Amino acid sequence: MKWLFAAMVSMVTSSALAADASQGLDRIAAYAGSWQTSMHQLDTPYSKAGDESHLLRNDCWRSAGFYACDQIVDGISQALLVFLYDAKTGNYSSYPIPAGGAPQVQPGRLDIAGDTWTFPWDVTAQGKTTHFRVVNVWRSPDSIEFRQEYSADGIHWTLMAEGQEVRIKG
Amino acid sequence: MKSLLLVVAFAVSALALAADAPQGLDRLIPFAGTWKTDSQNYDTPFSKADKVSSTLVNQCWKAGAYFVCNQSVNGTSRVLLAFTYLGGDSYGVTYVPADGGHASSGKLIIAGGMWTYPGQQVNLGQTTYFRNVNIFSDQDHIDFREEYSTDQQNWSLMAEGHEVRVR
Repeated sequence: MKWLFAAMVSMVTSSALAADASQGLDRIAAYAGSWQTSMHQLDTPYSKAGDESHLLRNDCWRSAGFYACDQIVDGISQALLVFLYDAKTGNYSSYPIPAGGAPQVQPGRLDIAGDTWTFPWDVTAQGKTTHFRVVNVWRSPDSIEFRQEYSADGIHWTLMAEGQEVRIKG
Repeated sequence: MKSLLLVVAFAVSALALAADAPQGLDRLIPFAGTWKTDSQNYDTPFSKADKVSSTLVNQCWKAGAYFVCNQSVNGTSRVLLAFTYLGGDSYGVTYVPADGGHASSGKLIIAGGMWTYPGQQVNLGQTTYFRNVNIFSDQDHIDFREEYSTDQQNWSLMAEGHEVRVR
C-alpha cells in the first residue's frame, strides 16, 4: 500500500507539470516513465521512522475516458492506478487496484492547484475522523517533492513522510 | 493393449495441447475485440423482459500483473475491467464505471471454454447468488446466460444470448 501511495504521489506530481500544456486526462501522462524515489518517514501514530529508496516505473495506457498506469516497483508490478476526469466539474478521481486483487476498491480524489497536486482522504474509526493527504509539488517536469500528512481538524497538519522523485531519462 | 496405446496417445496429445495453451493472463486475450451481441432478457425478480442487440468493443492492454479492457457499448465507453490472475483457473476482476461511480470487484473462473463470473448479494439476511456464464464454442463465438439462485443448485434464467466476433 505504501508503494501504491508513493506511486500516486509521483503520478500527481507529474500531472501538475503537464497541466501547463495539457488538459484533462492528458495531464496525467506526465507520470509515465521511470523514477528514482527516496522517502523519509517519521514516527507518528500512523507512520514509522525510516528511509527508503526505490526504482519506480509507471507503464501507462489511455483508452477513451480512462488513464491507467501499472506501477512497477523494483521490477515488480504492484498496483494499477486508474484515473478519470470529469470535464463538467474539472475533478479527477483515482482508483487504486492492488496486484493481488481487492474485495473493494475505494475511489480517491485528486485536487490540482497549479504545481501542487493533492490526494486527500479520510479515515473514521470509533466515531473519530482523521484526515490524510499526500501533497505533490512539481519542481520541474522531471522532479517532484512530496509529503504525507495527517490532521484531526483539517486545518493543522502533521508530517508523516516526505521525499522526492527524479525522472530517469533514457 | 490397443486401448492402452490409445490412452497413451491421447495423454500425449493432451499434454501437447496443454503446453501450447495460453496461461495466466494470456487466457484472457480472446476477450478483446469487437462483438455483435444479441440477448433475450426474461422477467424475474432481478430482470425485465427485453430483447437487445448491440455492438460491444473490448479495447484491451496487458501490463505486468494486469489485463485491462475499456468496454464500449454502441460506441460509448461504459466500464474499465481490470483482471488480475489469482492462480489456477481464478481471476480477480475490478469494474471501474466510466461515469466515475463506485468500483466493484468480483471473480472470473475459467474452465476450458466456459468462463463464469459468479456474484452474490445479501438482502434482509437472504443471500441470492448470481452467475454470468460465457461459453466459447470457438474463438469467435460465445453463448452466454445470466442466472440467479438461492441455493446454488437450482438456477433461474435471467437472460441468454450470443456474441459473434466482428473483428
